[in-house]
Amino acid sequence: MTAALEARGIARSYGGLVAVDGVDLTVPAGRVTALIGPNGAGKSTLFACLAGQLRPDRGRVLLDGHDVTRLSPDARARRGLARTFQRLAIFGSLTVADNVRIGAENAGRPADVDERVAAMLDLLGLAGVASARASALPTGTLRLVELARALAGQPRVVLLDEPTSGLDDEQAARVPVALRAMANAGRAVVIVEHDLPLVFAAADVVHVLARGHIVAAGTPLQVRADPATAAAFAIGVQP
Amino acid sequence: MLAANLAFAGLGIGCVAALIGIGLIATYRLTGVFNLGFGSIAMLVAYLLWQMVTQWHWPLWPSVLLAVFVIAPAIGWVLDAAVFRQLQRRGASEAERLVAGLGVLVLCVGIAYLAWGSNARTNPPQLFPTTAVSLGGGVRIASSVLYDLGAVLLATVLTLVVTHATRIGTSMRAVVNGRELAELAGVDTDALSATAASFGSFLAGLAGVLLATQLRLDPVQPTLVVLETMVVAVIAGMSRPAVAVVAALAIGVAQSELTLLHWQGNAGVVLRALQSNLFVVALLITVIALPRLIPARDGGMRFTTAVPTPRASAGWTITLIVLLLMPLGFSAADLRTALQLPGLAIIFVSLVAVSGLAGQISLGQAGYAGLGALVCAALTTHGSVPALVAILLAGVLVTPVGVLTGWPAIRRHGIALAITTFAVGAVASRFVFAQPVFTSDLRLRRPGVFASDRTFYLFALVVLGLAVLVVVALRAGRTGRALAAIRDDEDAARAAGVNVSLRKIEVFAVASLLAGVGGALLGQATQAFDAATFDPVQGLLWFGAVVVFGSGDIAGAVLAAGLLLGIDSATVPGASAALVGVLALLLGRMPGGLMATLRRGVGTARSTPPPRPGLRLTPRGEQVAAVLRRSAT
Repeated sequence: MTAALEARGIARSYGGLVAVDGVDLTVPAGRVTALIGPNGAGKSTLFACLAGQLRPDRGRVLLDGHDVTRLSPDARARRGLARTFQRLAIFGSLTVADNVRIGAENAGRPADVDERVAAMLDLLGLAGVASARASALPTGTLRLVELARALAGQPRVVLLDEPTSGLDDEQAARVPVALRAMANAGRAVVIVEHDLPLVFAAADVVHVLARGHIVAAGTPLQVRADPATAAAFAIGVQP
Repeated sequence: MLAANLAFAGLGIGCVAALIGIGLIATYRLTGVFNLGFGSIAMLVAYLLWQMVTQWHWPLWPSVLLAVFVIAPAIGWVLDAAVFRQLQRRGASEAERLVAGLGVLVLCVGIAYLAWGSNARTNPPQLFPTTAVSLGGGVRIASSVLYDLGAVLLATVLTLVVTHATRIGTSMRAVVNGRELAELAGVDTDALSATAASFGSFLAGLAGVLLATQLRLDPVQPTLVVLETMVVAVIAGMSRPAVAVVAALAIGVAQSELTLLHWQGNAGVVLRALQSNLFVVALLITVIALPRLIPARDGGMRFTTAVPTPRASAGWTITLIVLLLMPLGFSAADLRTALQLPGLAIIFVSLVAVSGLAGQISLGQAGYAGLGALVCAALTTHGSVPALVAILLAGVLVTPVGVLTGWPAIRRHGIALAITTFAVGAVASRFVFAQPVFTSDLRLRRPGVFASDRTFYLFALVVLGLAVLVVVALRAGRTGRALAAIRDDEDAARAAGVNVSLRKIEVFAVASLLAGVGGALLGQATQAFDAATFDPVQGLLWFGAVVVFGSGDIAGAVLAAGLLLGIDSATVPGASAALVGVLALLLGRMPGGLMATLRRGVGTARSTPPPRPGLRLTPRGEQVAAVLRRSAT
């Protein structure tokens, strides 16, 4: 399995607090990889180091085998690493089409921008609101816009920060379908998620973080059976 | 012995700087507002005391008590009730609060101009005796310094007690962190924010009456000095009054000790500038070297996220062109006033580029414009460069300065960027524009074929048109989308692959180029270099005017330039500043600025349309939206 994204010995501290301490992580293409752990485990810090928002104190981040540790988030995006945010991150003064176009023309290759924008609007059912100003649209539609913008650059790796945040149970239960579709298209998908049942249903590989270390890793079945997982959450995990 | 005497002399300005620092910190800690208007409140209270004692011949100490303990806190209370409380209640961004503070500054300066004119008053009432007290060994200290030190000690202790050792202080900080939560906990937030604003304003008044005894009193200088001495609050990380006091006294003493040195030549010029401007140098060094000292409450300087960038309709554009051509029919005297319009409008348009399109605050645009005028003057006075070429070179040569000062903007936002850009303008003003070695014997020649007022005005209008085209081009296409993305959400723009650093540098470069050209034209209009035209406080007024008219509105910027010139020439100097100040304070009620509000009023706005009936997702979109709907914002 080809590693699309790798973290090697990533460490990051805030003052005297060690948030991530020498984490190794391999994210294969065509798979959904999940990062789970209790609050304060270091998930968000590791995610930010992968996306480029934070520079690790130690360690390297490799994208398709190339060291991108010192690259900015936009440079990583241009090399094929897209991300969404837990909060709604939309360019409110632009139209839906222009929101998507920004992802297509900056993160993707310069050719075929119009075609890729149109294809993405069609794919996510946004063609009807393409000319509407984003700030005038409801939140649910804007989640689609954000996803379309991330995918418009045809990334090889997609980082999704709590994709079920704010969704009700029924809606959240359908997220695995969308994640599987992205992985089946050959993309490496990484999710940070608190919803453990969803993670175990959707992910191919699960990594458990606790106090800045990966304490368990494997398939969902393996991770659920690993005592280290229960210890990390300090509760029993239902089989 | 001389060094010791100079050290004690330096404590005087150090004490005033300390009071300013304490006041800024107290205001920021207790209200969450970095009040750019702090200095102008100090200036206004100093003027009021001067009026009471010197003009109305009221007794000194009752007047001091009235000015510092009644009027100054009342100003704070009124501003809180009318402006800042509303902003905090609706969770206004740091940008909005900063502009409101700018509005206070501009309004106070305008009021001072209107009430007392621009002439400096050199007879402020002395609060304390200036007799020297001997400390032995020939070392002497002015008794007024001892009183100043007492005032600083009192203010420091008072601030520490209020903010840290009282329930009121704890409650005030709770209000800053979350007004609604504090209200749910039973805190009377209105009374507390009014108390906090009054306390901060009291400290401003105290600093003002002490500062007035050490400076000439005019609407600009005390305000500017207060802005420059805010370095001590920055050094203290906006949170530690004792650190601010130590920093203020140290810089004050160091500035005084510099008079021991006597250098010749260019080094001497720099030294003489340093001897009276060490605080502004410290400000520039601090904000560049230690930007993390300045806290940021939110991520950026967004003026127009909620309101789309306005595009002038054909009707507005034609009306504007007609208005711009009208001065050609004016009398010779009126036309001479109007000659400054195109140059000023170009500077305003440059602010639209940097602030309106990219959402970056730039308080130093007057500095770029002044450098442009100076370069143009130097090239045409000392060299054989044709005036037409000199205008272009003015813009080109100022551009690297814009790039250099735009560099910090890559990672800075909000207050940090505001202070950085202001410091650049202040240093340019103090170390270049105010130095005779750079500005004496300069004449700004107009291009030969445009020497007459009428032809020069037409020529300047053409250059304004070109500047507008540059900004329109910047707003269009891929660059415009990228700038809008940076303005709306910088982190998301980076995640989408936008090269944010490069775009910011680009926009600062273009804006400084335009400001340089505008400054050159402004200078050629009057055919002289006037340092006061490019004063940093003037730059704040210009920025305020552009924001008030709509920071993304090119037509609004041109109109603002015309109105500023027209109002001041038709009424009295300062009237335009007062108007801009009032409008800035009302900005919260005018989303998108005055022009967008006017356009909405006459039904020609191209603001956000309501969702059109029938605007629907396709079936597949509805399916996916059902999954993602109601996600968190």
